[in-house]
Amino acid sequence: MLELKLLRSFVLLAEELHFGRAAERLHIVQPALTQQIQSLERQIGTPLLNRARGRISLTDAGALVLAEARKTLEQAARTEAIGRLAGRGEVGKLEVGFVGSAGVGALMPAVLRDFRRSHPAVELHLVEMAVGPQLAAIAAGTLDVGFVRLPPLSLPPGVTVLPLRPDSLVAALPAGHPLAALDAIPVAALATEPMVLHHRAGAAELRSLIDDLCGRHGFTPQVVQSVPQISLTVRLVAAGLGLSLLPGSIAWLAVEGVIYRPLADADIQYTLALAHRPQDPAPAVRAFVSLAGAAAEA
Amino acid sequence: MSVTAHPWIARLIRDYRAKSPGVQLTLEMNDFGQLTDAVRDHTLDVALLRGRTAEIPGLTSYTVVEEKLMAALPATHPLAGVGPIDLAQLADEDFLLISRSAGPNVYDIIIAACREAGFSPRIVQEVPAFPPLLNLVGAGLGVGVVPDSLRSMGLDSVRLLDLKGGHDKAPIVLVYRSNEGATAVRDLVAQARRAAATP
Repeated sequence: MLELKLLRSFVLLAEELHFGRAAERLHIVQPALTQQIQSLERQIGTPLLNRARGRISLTDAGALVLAEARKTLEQAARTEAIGRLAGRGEVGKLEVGFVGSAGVGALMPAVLRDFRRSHPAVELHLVEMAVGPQLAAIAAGTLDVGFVRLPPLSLPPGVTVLPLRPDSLVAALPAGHPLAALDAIPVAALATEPMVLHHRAGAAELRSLIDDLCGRHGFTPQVVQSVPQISLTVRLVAAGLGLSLLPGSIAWLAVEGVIYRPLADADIQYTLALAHRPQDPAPAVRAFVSLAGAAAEA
Repeated sequence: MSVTAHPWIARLIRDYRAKSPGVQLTLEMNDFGQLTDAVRDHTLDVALLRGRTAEIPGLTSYTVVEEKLMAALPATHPLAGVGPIDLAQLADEDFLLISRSAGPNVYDIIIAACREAGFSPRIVQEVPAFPPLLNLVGAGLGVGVVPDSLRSMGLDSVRLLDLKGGHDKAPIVLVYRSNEGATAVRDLVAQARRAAATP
């Protein structure tokens, strides 16, 4: 295998076409350069230079080797640069999970935008997942960070959560529903209402919060439809299928036909948080976590 | 996954529930390929997909919603205030695109439309569904091309503009087993096909 040092010497000599000047640029003595070029010609097995009457020029083989040597040196420089950038977390790939409500909330886009600006060469792979599966995937190393909700039902070892923004559950009602006339909805008023709620499988945390809330007020919610995704939940409320309980942070999505009201007698915290591995040495992950923390405080 | 934001889907579910209150509807969300496989394997009875499928033996596809594609721009974008635009005017923009696995058909439609407009979009981010995609457009990560129904998400931070020509469509397609025997499924298919005729 040819040494990069020999290729670099050859490229400089080809530029100068003068052993003395090339050696000077390389900060070596002229005999050392002569030796390097001879070694290169020996390894390739053909003369790269014509040395007639004290003037040197490239042979046809030399001209071809020059072009390839330049590419090799460029690639070597690129290899070095990418390694250095990766070490600083500036290239690579980050697997980012998010719960549906984070995807349509205000904070996650701000964090992604800030990260894209500071780390334009890091590819972000976005995956919509429920809280439990995200935490498991982060523990398993298949996900790097995840926008989740607190409190989680359980937290696997090696995973931590950084609370980002407090949020609480609000009632979503079809426009024109009698309860929409109230400024705030008493929880007990939901006892007789058809409800459109998230799948227990997809959002176990949210469903257990809602079940607990209703249980404390002495009833079990009448779920007329379980739904796998928040956009569809909002649509079904708009279509008049029933009421729902959703994080207040998505109320800014003014979907026509849906009215949001706070609960009158309950404050169910449903905090947005970033789950990650605190011991993760990857600089891109650490940068993402700190940007998320900064965006949350902004 | 890319169809859940469309009001037509919610109305279909509501009306079917009203007509067939004894039938429990179990809703699942998955990628395009997995949904068609699940219908073929009888794991699901029907699937609603974004974009037409290739012919799948034993399955019937029926277009229930014909929807045009719109340009989505941050409200602060210089072009956001103007009327219909040429896709070519977005040639130098960063693009957010629906993930290929989530909507391979609509992904291909958008890429082909850009090519036809004389450019290859610089994709800075793929997003697995349209609502978060639109939300990211609003945050200034780039521009997108989205189905018209996303308009009703009412995001102040985003403007949807008609595309000149406007011949690029992202239909919603109902996929079901051609030889379906179950009445409950046949009723749902019949109702969807009737509802398709009345936009």
